[in-house]
Amino acid sequence: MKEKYFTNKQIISMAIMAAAMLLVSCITVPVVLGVAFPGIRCLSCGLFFGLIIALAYAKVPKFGVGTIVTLVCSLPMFFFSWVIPCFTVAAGLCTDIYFLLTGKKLTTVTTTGLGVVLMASMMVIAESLGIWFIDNNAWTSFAQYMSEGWRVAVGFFGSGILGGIGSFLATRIFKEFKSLRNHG
Amino acid sequence: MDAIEVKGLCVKRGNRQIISDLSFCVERGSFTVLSGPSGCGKSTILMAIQGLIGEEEDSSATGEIRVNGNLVTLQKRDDSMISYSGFLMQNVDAQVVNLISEDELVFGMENRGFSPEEMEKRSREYEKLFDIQPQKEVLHLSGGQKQRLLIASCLCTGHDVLLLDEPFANLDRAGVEKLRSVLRGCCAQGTTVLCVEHRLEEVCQIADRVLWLEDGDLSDYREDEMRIFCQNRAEILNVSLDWNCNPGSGLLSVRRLNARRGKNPVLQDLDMELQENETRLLLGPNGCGKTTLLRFLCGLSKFKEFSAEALSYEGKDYRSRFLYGHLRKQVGFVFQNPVHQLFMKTVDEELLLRGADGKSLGQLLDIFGIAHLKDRHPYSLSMGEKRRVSVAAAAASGAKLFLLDEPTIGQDYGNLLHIAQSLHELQKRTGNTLLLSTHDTLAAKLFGGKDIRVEQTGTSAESNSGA
Amino acid sequence: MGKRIYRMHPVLKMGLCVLTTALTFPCWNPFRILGVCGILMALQLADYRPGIWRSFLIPFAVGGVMTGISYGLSKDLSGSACSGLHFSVLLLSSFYMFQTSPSELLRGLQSCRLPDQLQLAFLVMYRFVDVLREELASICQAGSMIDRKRIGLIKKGYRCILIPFSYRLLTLSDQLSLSVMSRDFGCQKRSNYRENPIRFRDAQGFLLLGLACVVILWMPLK
Repeated sequence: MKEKYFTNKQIISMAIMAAAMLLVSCITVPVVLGVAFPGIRCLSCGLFFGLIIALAYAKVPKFGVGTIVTLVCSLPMFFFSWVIPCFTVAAGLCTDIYFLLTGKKLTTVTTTGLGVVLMASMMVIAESLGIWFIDNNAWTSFAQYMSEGWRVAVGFFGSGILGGIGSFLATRIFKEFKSLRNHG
Repeated sequence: MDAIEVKGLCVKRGNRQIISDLSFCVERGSFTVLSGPSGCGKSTILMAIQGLIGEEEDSSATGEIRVNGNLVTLQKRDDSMISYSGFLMQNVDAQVVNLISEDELVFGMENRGFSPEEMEKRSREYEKLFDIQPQKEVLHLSGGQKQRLLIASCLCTGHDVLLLDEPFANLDRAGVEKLRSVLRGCCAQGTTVLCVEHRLEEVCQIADRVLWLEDGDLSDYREDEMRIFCQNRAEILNVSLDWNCNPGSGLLSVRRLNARRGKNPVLQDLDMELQENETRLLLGPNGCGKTTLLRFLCGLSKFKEFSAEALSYEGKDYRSRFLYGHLRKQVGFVFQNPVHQLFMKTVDEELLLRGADGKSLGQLLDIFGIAHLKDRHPYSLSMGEKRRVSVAAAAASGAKLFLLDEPTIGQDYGNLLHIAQSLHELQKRTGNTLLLSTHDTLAAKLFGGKDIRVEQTGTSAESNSGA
Repeated sequence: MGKRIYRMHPVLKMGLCVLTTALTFPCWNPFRILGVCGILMALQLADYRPGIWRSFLIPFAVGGVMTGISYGLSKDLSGSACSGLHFSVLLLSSFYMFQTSPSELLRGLQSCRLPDQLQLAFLVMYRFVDVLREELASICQAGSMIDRKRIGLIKKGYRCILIPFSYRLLTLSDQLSLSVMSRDFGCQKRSNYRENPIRFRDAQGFLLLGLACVVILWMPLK
């Protein structure tokens, strides 16, 4: 049989990570749904998403992990709105491109960058799609949106920072678990 | 030709030799039990026979294993390789892949490319045999039902060799009877079963043979010799510990407790009194509400899911919403899965986190026999060691009331006795009260004295245990 | 008691829901949007399940609240009604999708020749969300018994929630992959126990309903 790009074990690891991402978003996002702040949904789940995506890459260090994890975790979101899977998968793809550009090396710095890229790109793409679809004149509402630039900046940088913190914590966690094997 | 042939099996994990030059055979259609002290390599042997030993990182294996004459790989598996036997691990929740029973039943057959007609025929046959409701969601199945579903799924695929890792560990009396009759039926139809089990008293009645693995040596017991051996093993637990010698004043009082899980009532009009320096057992079948009661007593229940006429601890009323949550800081609780409450990098840090100081730390490490593990990461320990650490950590809080949720699961007789003796020693030194839940009647004898039986209806009755 | 008259293939159902929401959002005529709501309600009735009246009431209740808030801010009745109805369409299509169980959806995807590995991934994801939820609940309960003063709030969050949860994620995936491997997943081409191909009736229904939505939303009146 033709050798597959991902082994079954790797697919299962990614699926479990996707389940964890879905669980976290189901817990954190409804809490902040009513708050009108740019990127509030990304801010609420940034830390955990950053942690989980970094664990996924640490377990399966291959191009495509970000896209697959976000695709699998966003399938139930189709039930609510098809926009959600769109921006989630797009953010996953951005993370994959970043992973490729770093030469697929998972140092502490590059792993932290995974969370930053995922959450910052998710915030930007989600908000852009939201502006495009909610108002029928995208440019007018984009201008309105940016008129309070500080809020957008807080949302953007906040999401990126939280995602980065989550990924950084994942590097420490993975190092701790790796040392377990040496203890026997 | 024997169903399973193991020749010269050697397994190494890192620098440690787990199994050294092991050889044995299992006859077709027989029920063989593989037992031994914790950590001797029983589960590793099952993994090797299933061809999964290569998946463990840092593990290397040599030797020859054949199942029904087919050579089993000891190297890393390719996804295109097929299995020659069915395998049931201890944690059933981590094995069920599908959402409804019918899909789980046919999962193996779909993977092997069976035709829909063949799948229909086999699944109907095994649904009747194993009492499986095809449209029931897996989420609503009990542990015993999931086990039967997985066994049926293996047999549907045509496997006539079953490898079971501690299948009786989580089952109550009714579950044990059910599984025994299912396995007896399988063997009667020619299925070969190799089962790793500590609870020899449960499997002895249907086993043809017991293989005892200790310090690398394998001893073989059959027929009368086997029964005598199992009886002798169980004799280890015939130790008389003097519980409940000097019960003190009232510590906890609960009257007319009604608790529910979601919309379903779990406990009804339950009454309970606990004294200081007392040991009580909470007995009852799976699903009757033992864990719910224990969680209620340590302040972990949702406030809206219970009502009680009285709930007092150390003379203070804890029925108010504000005070109820404070109970969790007053009472020590040991979760069923020790991993949920192990947090720190080393064992001694874990005990210090829970409230041990320099003096009591050394005492606790000695009482629970974990002094040699104090610098180890809790997650690197075996399950038995993790359980001892979690009990010691809960004891470190110095709580007067100590609740333990199924501390006897998956423990061999030696570890069971060790835990009982440690708790007894702890009680003698600190005078605390213990309330343990268990469905294991043999283990219950160790903690003999008064018990509280929770019936399936969620009501309770007090009696003296059979010890 | 209602009866099931027409059940669309789950994949086409998903496609139809995407289509209706995508087409409806740019529309700002409340009557046209109500027409699409009617189509979605008719589809739900055709695939009848008990408790269906709740799935009609909730979208309009939420839509009404959104309309009220929007009117309070903008004083534009038509625009506010459209804002509210956009949410109603979103919720009606969500409830229509929810009438399909995850296992039916996965069987439908399997019949559409989705790659086996992706099917497995979706299946594992659906199955383990509940398992992880229970694990996380137990971990949080165990963590709540630790005195915050001993360890600090941030360190408590890290050691008492993130560490055990990450450990469970990694060990669960290892155990599950052993189980799947021992059940021969991927050793050859998988067969399908319950084929659910897209039938001509489904495709026909999808095209007609899609066309109906387009006509309702975009056909020039007068």
